[in-house]
Amino acid sequence: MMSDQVMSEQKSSRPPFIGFGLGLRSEHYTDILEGNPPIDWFEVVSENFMVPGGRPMQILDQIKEKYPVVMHGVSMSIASTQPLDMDYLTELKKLAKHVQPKWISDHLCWTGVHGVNLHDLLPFPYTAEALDHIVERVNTVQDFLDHPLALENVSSYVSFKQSELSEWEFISELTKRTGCWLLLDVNNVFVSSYNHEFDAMEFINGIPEDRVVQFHMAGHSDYETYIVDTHDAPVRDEVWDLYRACQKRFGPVSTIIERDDNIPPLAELMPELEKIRNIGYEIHPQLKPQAA
Amino acid sequence: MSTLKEIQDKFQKSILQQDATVMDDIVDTSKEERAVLLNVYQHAYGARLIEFLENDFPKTLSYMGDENFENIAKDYYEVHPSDNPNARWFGRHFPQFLAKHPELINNPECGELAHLEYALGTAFDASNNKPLTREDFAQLSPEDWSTLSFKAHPSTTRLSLKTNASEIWSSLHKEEELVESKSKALIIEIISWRGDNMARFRTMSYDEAMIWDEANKGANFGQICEMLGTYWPSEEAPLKAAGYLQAWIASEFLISPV
Repeated sequence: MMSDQVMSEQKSSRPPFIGFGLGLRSEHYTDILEGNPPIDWFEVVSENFMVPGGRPMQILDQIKEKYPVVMHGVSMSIASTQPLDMDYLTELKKLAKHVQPKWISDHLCWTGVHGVNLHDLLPFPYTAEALDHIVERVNTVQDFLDHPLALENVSSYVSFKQSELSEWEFISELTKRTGCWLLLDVNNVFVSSYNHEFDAMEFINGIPEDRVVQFHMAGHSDYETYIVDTHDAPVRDEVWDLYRACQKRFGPVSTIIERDDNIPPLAELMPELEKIRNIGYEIHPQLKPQAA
Repeated sequence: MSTLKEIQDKFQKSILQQDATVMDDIVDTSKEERAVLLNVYQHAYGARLIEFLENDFPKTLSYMGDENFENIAKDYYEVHPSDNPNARWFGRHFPQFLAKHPELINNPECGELAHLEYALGTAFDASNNKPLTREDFAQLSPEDWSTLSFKAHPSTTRLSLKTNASEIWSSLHKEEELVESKSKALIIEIISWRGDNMARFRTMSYDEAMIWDEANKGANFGQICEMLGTYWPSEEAPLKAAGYLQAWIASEFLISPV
């Protein structure tokens, strides 16, 4: 009998490295489509385009003609004990067929039970029971979607007495048993390490080197006794340090700035993107374009 | 030990009903008590849902004011928690909720303003069905006309407003001095749609609104000509009907009924 890992590796080949990009936000549509800014790729929020038609799809069609696109969802609710929402997955698959993303991602979390959606990325205990449950659901989703699936570590504010594994042990087991890819949100590692008082480098060094296909970089809000993942500010110094460590351990890995609130003009985000790119080039000089 | 399902049930109750049972399952940190940490989720829940409504009903928010809007938004999500993975549809009951809210009994324009905003949102991202064109109609033989039936483009919504909500919308849109709300002695008939990629609305005359509504219930061209005979001399009715039809085609209101 084949092991889980061998079986899972057949589900999707490793997505390619596609460079340094941004989360696509409506505030930047005009600048992107009229200005050709030096952005390698865009991550789009899947649900924003899971609408019948109109302008959102037209914009997305124009973006995908010019740039590689990755679809990033917030509602798969992969850790929920409610049955998988096959209507949602069918819509997601339909969108993916149209967009042809390099991969599809969502979060390692749950968003609600009993038919309610709390529209949040909710935590759960890292137990063997939860692992078995989520492995089964990830396998179902991977079999259903025609694209590679990457799951993202979320920021969390509470932890559970029931947890038997660390977050990184849980994620490592999940990727080993399902072959799913990982989207490592570097800011979320920092936020959770602060909130749950663990060493962020222990997390990073505990994740398999060969499963991470994307990094998120973002800012957060510090409330002294805890940090909230607000994604509304520039990347903090501590997170830059972790990004360097991540590019060294997992890289080269495609990276975006994920700004969700307090969104500045595109021109203000470009220096931050350049910093992300330059650190990537510094650690992986082979990526740097050669002068003509 | 609680199972995953039990923990999720309790966690959700702590957010929706401020039930404290899940506190037994979570831990303090050396820096903070668990109740404060759990409150991050409890607070974020309401704030996020209110933000969804603010984004979908910006003019209703502007008209009602932040505090009034927020208070009624809180009532709304208690009665209508989100049941869809896509936040786009969270506000679909909001206009009707405002229309029936006891605190707005003397402000029916609030619900109607929200109805208009929701209709414009529908126009914005409705499906891209191919609209009928003049060329489609040019191919019809004279005998086809009397039995010709119609189907509205999914971007269209018809509203019959009993207040001047559409004027309030316009004054907010143009950032002009806000017009005073008033109930209208006569209903204002409105249609909203997507034209040139923009969500739009315009008023309809009573006869146009009547035949539009009847056409979308299945009345054919011959029948709507007869109906217009109640407004116009019978010899003018077909010309009136053709004029309205021409305007609907030009505005891309119609799709193929089959």
